Amino acid sequence: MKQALTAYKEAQDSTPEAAFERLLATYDVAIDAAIRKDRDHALHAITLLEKTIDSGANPEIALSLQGIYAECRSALEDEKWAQFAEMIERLKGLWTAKFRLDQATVQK
Amino acid sequence: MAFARTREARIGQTPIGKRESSTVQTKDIESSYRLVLGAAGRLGTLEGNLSTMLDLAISGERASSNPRKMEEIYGKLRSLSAGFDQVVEAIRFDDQAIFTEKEIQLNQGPGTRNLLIDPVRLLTYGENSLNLSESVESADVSVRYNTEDQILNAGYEIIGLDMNEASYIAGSNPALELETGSYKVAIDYLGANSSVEIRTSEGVLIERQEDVDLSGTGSEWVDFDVGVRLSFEKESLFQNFDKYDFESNGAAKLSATLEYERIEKHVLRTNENPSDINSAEFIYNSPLTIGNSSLTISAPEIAPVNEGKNPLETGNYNLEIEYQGSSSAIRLTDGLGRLKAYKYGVDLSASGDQKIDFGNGLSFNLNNKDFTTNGSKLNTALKYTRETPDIEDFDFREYAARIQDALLVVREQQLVMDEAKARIEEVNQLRNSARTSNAPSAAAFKASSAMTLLSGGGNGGLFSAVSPDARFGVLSTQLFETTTAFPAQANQSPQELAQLRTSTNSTSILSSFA
Repeated sequence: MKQALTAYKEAQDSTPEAAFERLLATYDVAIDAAIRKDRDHALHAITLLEKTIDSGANPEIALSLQGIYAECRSALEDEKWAQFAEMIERLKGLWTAKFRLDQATVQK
Repeated sequence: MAFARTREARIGQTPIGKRESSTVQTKDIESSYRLVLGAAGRLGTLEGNLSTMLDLAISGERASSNPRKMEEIYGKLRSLSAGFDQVVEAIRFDDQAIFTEKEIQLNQGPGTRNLLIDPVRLLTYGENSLNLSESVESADVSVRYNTEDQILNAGYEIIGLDMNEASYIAGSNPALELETGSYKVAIDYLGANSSVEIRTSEGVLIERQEDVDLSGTGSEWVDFDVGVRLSFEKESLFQNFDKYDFESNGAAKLSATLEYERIEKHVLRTNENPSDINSAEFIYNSPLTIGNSSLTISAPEIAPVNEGKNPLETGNYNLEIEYQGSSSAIRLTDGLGRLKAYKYGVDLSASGDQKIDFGNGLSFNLNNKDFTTNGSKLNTALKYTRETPDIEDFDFREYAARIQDALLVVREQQLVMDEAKARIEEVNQLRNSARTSNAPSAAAFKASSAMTLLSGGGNGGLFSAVSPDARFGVLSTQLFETTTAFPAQANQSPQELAQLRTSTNSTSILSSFA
């Protein structure tokens, strides 16, 4: 029973929707850290985002994201919290729009 | 043909029906890499070529007191610039020249948008070019006697007549221009009343000139409206008949083969004005009339220049005909009264037309209508224009400046290709590192300035603009153009996210993701 539950949970976690939710949650952590001016936590979020880029899936998007995250790090070093938060918000917004658009296309 | 290229269309006509594709497109990242690598190498050759030309142009400027040296340098420059165009036209991908203003789309493999490059036109001639040379529409015309002609001509045993040259007449009616190809020249030899025809190789008549005087001794040329001039050398060797006894045997039907090729001459110019076109005209021309008799001149022409003669230069001249019967004199003087050409002892006593040829590039027709008054003079003014020799208008200093500008353009293109090469290498490295590890190295993600030189504005490159807005603009385009966006970033595991949410100590957190 326990094995079945684990398998079910793993299957749930691997859906695109779940992956998307985790991506948004990661951005939320970063935004929250910026609001609290928690540099370490914000850096942690950025490190996770950088680490989880898959350049094999789309090298161009990977390069673009890496460039933006480098900017985020630079903003953190200069303690430009508003700029950092805005960049993360914009990323989150772009991914949300992309997800919605993809969902709408699938439903059609 | 060293300084010429072939052309398909008639003079002034826009070529149609053979348009090349306006875009060069590579099929994969490997071919993209080959293209930029090859182009970068050839651009190096072009840069070397231009540097040599620059050195020569500077030498030419210093040799301004030595016309022979200047002419030699001009010849070398002309040769190098023609070679430059040959290299540019040889830089091809899939048989398409790539430095002729065609957009290049470099395929970077699946999941990656094409790189766009807008190369400039690197040819030395034409619009939007490096403006180092001029392409002048012309034709390469030659005449020969092939075996078939020789067999036909041998049947008549005509002696003392040779068609020695065929040339292109600049400024002819372009609508009548011959196509590139072989034609037959058919001559009906009847002494002073011969005819000359140009026919297709199948025998269809194109143009016929009648009353051509092929008798006697000297030179004779026949101009055709199709823009071809045929020159004959004549020599009278027999006492009983002239070259061939056509009165007893009928006309001798001679044959030759004419080769016509439409070309564009390659000339260097620093003068913005187009080349002069040959022309000769009498500014005022009234006949010398005494009673019912008259002496009239007409039809001034640009004629071939005899060997050893200096060609008449462009300018205004005075022509004087002093009538002394069979020993008349004809003089051509310039505006300062200096004698430029003369003919003494000319027999003008017979009534009728006579062609006067100075042998210096000017000929005209003289008509005597019962004129017999010795000592009378006919004066007229002549305006004569001949194509300027290229070097006369040439300014080495200005040309050196143009070459320097061209060098900048070529170097810029080199930079574009180098950056495109770096960009492709980067994408390839990323793809390879993704295959072996999920964590791309810092080197693989090294930001590049490549795209600052590649076309397409914000969409053209990832790092083209330094502002965050531009970066987001690029990312936005990339996200909505692909179906592989999410796998590139949405890979956070539940465990990693949980660890992030609960972490309070950055040191421990960062080490856990290292």
